[in-house]
Amino acid sequence: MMKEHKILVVDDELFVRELLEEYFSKLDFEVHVASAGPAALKLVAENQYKVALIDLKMADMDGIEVLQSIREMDENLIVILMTGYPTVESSVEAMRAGAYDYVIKPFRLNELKDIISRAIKEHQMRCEISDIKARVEALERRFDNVETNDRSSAKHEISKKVAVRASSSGYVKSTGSDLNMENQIERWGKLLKDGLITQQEFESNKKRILSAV
Amino acid sequence: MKKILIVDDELLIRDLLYDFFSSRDYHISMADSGEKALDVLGSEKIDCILTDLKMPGINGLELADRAKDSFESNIPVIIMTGFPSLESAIEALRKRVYDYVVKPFNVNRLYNVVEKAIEESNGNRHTLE
Repeated sequence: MMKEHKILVVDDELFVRELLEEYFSKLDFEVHVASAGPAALKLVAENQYKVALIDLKMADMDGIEVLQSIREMDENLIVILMTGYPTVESSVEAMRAGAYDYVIKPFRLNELKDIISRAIKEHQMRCEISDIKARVEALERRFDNVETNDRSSAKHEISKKVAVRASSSGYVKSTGSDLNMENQIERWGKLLKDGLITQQEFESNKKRILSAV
Repeated sequence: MKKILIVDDELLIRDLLYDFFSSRDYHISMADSGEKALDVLGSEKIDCILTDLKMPGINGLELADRAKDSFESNIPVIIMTGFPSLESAIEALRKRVYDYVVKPFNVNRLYNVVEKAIEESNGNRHTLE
């Protein structure tokens, strides 16, 4: 049976690779391992991982370089850096490169498990946002032939829909806090009608709005 | 015109940054504490927050958190500190702070960080608005 979450472990220490592979496999993760940056990048090119756990200090290509290369290949993949030699400089560098977390070795496996659970949620959110962006771009292309005057109002309409959609994912705060329950449901209904969301998404949002009363 | 909020309990730093950024066509708001910074955020539209880490009351990292929770969620926050530590740097990373700059800093480099932060933030906003 296919496991739901696929993660990648990159470390030049065999002990760490084996430890993490064994632990996360038991937790029903599909775990792939690599002992160096180039091998890790090859795996990233061939697989859809949700999270990559990467050692900071490795020969040839360090964790930051691997992270930077991953960013160009898969912007949604969450990268967690691990190190036994933590410094302010490398943690700031990790921040600038877009690391999700910076974990100091030795770590507690259950704490790492919690970080990965949060990272998987973040991955889901990033994928939803990417999906929204793709839909907006597709819709904007559809309006390319519309007269300029109409286009601006059409884009405005799309923007409103996207703002509602994005706020529901928790990515941005809703600017429509004054919307009452009926209006919110009506908006989701319009998104459904326009094919921007699925019936299932509509139902789950309707349930969410009603349960918030 | 871009507007930044400078938060530092040291007058010297506020003055230095005010002089530098105002001469580069920035609108500037200033606060000498995290609490006053939150008041500014409640009444003005800010493009970027430059805040000291160690301040009495609400510190820079708490301010970053509260700015995200209470106001516009994606204002980039740049932390400045004369007392860098591994703990605060990792906390900054986890709070998705834009950058962590150690004092004394080169103001021209800081200017580049602010420009990049606002540019990236605007790029994200245009996609989602």
